[in-house]
Amino acid sequence: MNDSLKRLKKAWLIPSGWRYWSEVNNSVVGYWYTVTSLIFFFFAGILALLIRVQLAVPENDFLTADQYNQIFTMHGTVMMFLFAIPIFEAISILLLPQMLGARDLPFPRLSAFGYWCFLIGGIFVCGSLFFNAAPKGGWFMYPPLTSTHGPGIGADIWLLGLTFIEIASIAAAVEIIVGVLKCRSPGMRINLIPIYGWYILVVAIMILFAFPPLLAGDILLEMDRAFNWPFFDANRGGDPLLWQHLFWIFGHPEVYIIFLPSIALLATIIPTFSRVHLVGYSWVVLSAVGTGFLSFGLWVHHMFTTGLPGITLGIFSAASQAVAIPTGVQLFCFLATLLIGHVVKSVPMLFALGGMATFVIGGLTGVMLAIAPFDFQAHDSFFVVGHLHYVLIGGSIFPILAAVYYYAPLIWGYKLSDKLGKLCFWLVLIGFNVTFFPMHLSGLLGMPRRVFTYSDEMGVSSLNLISTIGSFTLALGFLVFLWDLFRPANKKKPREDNPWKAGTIEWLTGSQDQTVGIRSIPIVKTRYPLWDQPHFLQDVSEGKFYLPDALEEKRETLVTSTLDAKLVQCLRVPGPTFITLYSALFSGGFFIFATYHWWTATLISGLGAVICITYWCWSGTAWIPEKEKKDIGLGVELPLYKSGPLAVGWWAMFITMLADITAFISLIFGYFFYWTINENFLQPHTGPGFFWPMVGGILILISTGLTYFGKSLNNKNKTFSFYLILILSALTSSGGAYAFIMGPLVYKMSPTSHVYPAIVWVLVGWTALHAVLGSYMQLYCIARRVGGKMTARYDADICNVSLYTCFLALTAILTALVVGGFPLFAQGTL
Amino acid sequence: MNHKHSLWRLGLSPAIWGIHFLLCYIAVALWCAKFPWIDLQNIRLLVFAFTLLASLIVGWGVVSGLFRHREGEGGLPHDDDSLEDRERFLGFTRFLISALSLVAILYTSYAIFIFRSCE
Repeated sequence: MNDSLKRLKKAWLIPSGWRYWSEVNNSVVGYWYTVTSLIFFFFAGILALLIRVQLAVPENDFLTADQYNQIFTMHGTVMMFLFAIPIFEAISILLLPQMLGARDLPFPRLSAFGYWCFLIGGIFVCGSLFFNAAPKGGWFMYPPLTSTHGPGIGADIWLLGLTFIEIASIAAAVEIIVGVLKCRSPGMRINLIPIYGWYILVVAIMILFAFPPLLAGDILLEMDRAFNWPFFDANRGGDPLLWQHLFWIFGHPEVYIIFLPSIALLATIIPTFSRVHLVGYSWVVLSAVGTGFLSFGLWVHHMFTTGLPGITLGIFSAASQAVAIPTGVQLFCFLATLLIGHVVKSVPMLFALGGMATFVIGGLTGVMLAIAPFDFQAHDSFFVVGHLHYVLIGGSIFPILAAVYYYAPLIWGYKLSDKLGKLCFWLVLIGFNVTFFPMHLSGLLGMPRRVFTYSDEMGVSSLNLISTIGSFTLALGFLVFLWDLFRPANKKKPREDNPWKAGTIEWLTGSQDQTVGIRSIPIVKTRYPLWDQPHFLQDVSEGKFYLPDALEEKRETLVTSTLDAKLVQCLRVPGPTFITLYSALFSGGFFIFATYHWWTATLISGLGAVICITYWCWSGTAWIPEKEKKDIGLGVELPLYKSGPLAVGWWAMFITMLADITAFISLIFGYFFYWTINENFLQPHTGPGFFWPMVGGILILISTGLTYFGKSLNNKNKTFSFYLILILSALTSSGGAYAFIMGPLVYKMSPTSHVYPAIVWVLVGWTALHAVLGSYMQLYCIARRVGGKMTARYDADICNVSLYTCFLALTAILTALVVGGFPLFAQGTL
Repeated sequence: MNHKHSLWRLGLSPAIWGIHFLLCYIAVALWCAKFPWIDLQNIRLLVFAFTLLASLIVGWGVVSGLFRHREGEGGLPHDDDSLEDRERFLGFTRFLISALSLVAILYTSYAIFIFRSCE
């Protein structure tokens, strides 16, 4: 082994013993993430079998109604939130660096933090089932069943546990977006990136706009449950329908957040086995982007039976039909690729084709359900259960199984068994269809979902028994899959680096040392470099491209430009640490203790989380390098530090704040929703008045201006003035928070009396909290400068905080205009 | 060829679709919940105005994307390692996404011209 490889291996060395759990490298964290998601999948699968046993015969008493409620709620919740979404994040974190030809993604510690949040939140939510305390309101938690009529802590566990897990999803989205846009191999222009990268970029952007409405809904429902704020109580002006809106603004895009990454795997697998490039690359990009945005216009089709105006149903029905266009386009591109290629038979292809066929059936019943009159008949029946399982299992499980068989040689170095793979495929395909096809019929015969038993007179007994037999066949298929994964014979198999003869770049790493990922970061010139670039594998393996060495024994990867992947920066990424685990533990404590209303413990945990995250930022971000530039090989020198829009950290802040402002706008949506449904919603005489909200908005606006002024002072090295201005800025920001709170306070607005004061309190509370956080960040910048971790030249911290204050100012102005201005405007006095 | 293309432009047509969709939704929601005395024809006129404006902007995306895709010598699949092919790819993708946005905009408006009541 030469010296350069030794240094590289030392820099990327995975800690041993118990310190292994401090690793943050994406390939290791991605592996944990994948395994954990699969464990949750099997847990939820066992729950599904319990459901099927209960429904096997009429009037069965295997489970009580209460147990059944908990089990079907947990089955849906775990499958959706702890498997379907995390598995896509897991696979992306695991494979994306290799697919992009990067040595790592830009924020490995963020990925590790996301993983620990996911694990802690997942155990908390699943554990509730063993204490007879699980949520039982269905996976979409409709109030008032989960508010006024939902005693116990089950719904709180759902709301707070999943809010915590959603943090992991948003963290993964930040990592993925910045990774795809800024960390590609040099030369990998936007028209050459792996199609998986396009899909995953679209999905990560969807997360930013889909998850925050659910977060907003979670806040409102939890306030309703914990403090009796009447957001969903019709007697005090609230309305349970707002939850349905917020949930489905999240919930429908979520279906595509699950489906698109899996289809992306098919788009990667199919060309390999067709031995040709993907047909219609641009059309597939259209499909991904088109499906992504259209999916946000469909949410009301889950609410067709709630009595919304017919004209509204028409709009959403039309949009639901429109989404079939991009969905169909990508499937035709896949078929065209298969038709023009020379298809090689294999287990991954079996799963790919089985998945496509299954998904098409689910898609067609989806088009049926998008027609409102049909939906009126089939709503909340087993027809819907059959439809959604065809979509999700065809569109997600089959492609994931295909991917496990496909990528096994890359991850473990050997292929899984062809014989067992085929057996697994046929058992899963037959078992799946036998389970879920009869559900369409039992649904049409009138069998409602979520009812723990049925009478023999309904005429659905035989269909249910068939479904139960099918479910055990399906489970047998998964047992074969598990055996294939873990059987001892696997260890004896010879290493195969690229057994499928794939052309995409991730297959390079199969032949490289796993710890360092790619031996040298290549220059990419085609979509399938292993097929089309001569001597590619050899040149990469011999370290002839960039970063073949780690002279300073630090972990490094390259940052490139968004469109043309031109070299921009050599980015030093942080190594192993336990701080991400501690941060997740304290953050988890905050949510978990709040579930039980242990407020002191909640406060201590929250404080611990703030301290840990501050220490993490202090010690692990925006490092000042020992030199300005570094030689990365091939005679190229790159800067080691960037700030502002050229830095990955700035983009992470921008993306996070997009999610944050989306959550805030969801709350504003709530305000106006209540205004439309309540005859006398606005009560200007009860507060918060015009004065205090306007003072709050103006103070925060001034604080933002001061932060930018402070940033320019820092750049001019006027240290004292910088400290002064930033202290003033922090005080102004906190003053803004105070003014916002004073509005409802001086008017003595009681949030439990009516939904109007409650929603005003939520909006001003949200803004005030953000303003206080802004002050904290401004003081942090002062501390960084005092501590020598930020200078006039190395100013990433103040650049990022300036960006934060822009979003803060937008939040404050909107809050001031809505809570202070709108009541007067609506009454014609402004 | 002008190489100052930006990835943001790909999102313009979908964003216009989103704004149009929201405006249509809000217009009918407010009509049904707050202002039922307003004549439906006025609501339709308003929606027609939104739709015309949105279609013009998105239509511009369709045409300009198509021109950009056809610029120069290179044909599909636009997978050459060159600035020109990158531009043609972005143009073609913009053309497709804008065309889909246009269809979706017309679908949404169409519903308002068929349905007559809030029942």
